[in-house]
Amino acid sequence: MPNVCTIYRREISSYFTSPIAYIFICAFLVVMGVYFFLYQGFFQRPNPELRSYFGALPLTFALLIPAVTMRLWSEEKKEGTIEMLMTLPLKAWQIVVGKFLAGYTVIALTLLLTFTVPLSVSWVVDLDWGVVLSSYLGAFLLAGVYIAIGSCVSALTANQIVALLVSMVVLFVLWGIGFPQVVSVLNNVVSPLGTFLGWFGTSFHFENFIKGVVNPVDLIYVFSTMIFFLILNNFAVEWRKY
Amino acid sequence: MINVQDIVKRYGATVAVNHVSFQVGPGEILGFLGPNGAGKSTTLKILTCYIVADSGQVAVDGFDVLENSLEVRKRVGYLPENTPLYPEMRVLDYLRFAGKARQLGGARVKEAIDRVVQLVEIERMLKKNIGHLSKGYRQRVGLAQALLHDPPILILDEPTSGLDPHQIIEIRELLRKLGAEQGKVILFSSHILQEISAICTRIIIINDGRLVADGSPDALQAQATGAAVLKASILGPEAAVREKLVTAAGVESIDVLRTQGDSGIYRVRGKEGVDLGPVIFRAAVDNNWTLTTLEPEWNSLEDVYLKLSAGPSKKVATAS
Repeated sequence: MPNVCTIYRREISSYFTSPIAYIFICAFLVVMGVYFFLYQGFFQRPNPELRSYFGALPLTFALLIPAVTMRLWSEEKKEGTIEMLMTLPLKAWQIVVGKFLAGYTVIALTLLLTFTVPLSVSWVVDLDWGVVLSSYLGAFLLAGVYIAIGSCVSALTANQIVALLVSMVVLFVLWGIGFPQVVSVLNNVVSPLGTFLGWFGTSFHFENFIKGVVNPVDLIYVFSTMIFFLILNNFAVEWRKY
Repeated sequence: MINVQDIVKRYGATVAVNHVSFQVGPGEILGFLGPNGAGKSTTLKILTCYIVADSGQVAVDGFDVLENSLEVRKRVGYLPENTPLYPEMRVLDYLRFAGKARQLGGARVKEAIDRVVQLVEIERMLKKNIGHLSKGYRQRVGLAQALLHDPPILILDEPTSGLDPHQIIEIRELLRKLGAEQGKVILFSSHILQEISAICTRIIIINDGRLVADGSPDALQAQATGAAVLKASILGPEAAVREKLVTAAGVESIDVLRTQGDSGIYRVRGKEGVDLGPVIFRAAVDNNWTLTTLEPEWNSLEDVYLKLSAGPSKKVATAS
């Protein structure tokens, strides 16, 4: 654990001494705010609620989280620092987890800052705080899945732009296949295919959290996906040696 | 301390390291010499557990690099080629990070940093961003990082490349100090011969992935020279000198290096095992020439290197 912490602290300081973390946080808040208050027409609605705010999270995450994860491994490969890093007496998984947690912290901080939205909305509308909290829990866990995937993709290339674009596409597809419309289209092609793939879609599971339902199945999905990609990330790092 | 047995490493179709074996004992400063792309870095990367050899075995301080990789990495200080560092970090923060990653506890990190900072003389740079340092200081920070945990074995990949002559001398002095006073085993690579012969107790020459020579600088010189070669300055008619000497017993060949009037300088190559000095002296006496100087012309180490590393390829150009 102290080793994970060493890596974690270096990564965090790297996020916050460079402008990445600040730009990310600003971009995220602006995009979500503009989308929710202006595009969705919050002020014109007869029954204002937060559902559409949280509903937009999987897509926004899919487009913005890769900007945080792209540097995790690609930068080390590009700069050659990975050689120093991997010859330190640390186990590969400790480095993988340290980096993952650092990326996670940036997103968690961003989510924390979005809390101003439910707070301000609660001035004009009576909010069901249970639903708000389960939505936040869902968002937090979903971010974990996305970061694990983004970090894994980053470990496969020395080019940050490649890492960014590939993770965006992967996350976008992972979001899309859970959509009811996509599921029905795929079901028309081969009968249970859409439903089967849809189960792996992030939006499919995230919907429950926004409804205020914390379902064990969704928790299992989230944690197993996260762990699966962390293990894959570890493999990608170890595989480099051969 | 280091035992390398028959390692092979391929990158696709190219064989980067081709059945290389060598041992390094305590107290040795081993220079790894070879043209660019000869397989030096690859070998060092295998020793430091950064990559894994396709076949063969490597043990560092008794620990196998595959089975006990962590133990190996604890005992080795490594400076990779081009000194990769995190440019956005301050020197002090970077050293703290390296110390913690080396599992040095709080007080020991501070102690270790104080020690190496003094050793490589970067006291004034601690608060600076690594990205703002000159190449020489970056190199020192890399060295500081490699020395932080006081490892018994130091592996440095081209530690002086890109430095100015003054900095090169400083790094050399530092290595000499580390080797002689602190008894560290030092393995370092270079494609510059003078550098290696200046401080190494032993040289390994590697070319096209193969180990082509292994020995002390002196032994390598002697080995490559083989038959004796003498340089003689003789006062006498050139044509006669050439003719008489070539036909003298024990002389293999003769080159005229320079002539001016009757005075000439000749390079005389003897046959294997012949003591050439008396032969030339005798010839001079018999023919009434004046022999002004007679000195052995060792093949310089440079020749050895060029000869050995020329191999089947045309890498000589990059080697010099």
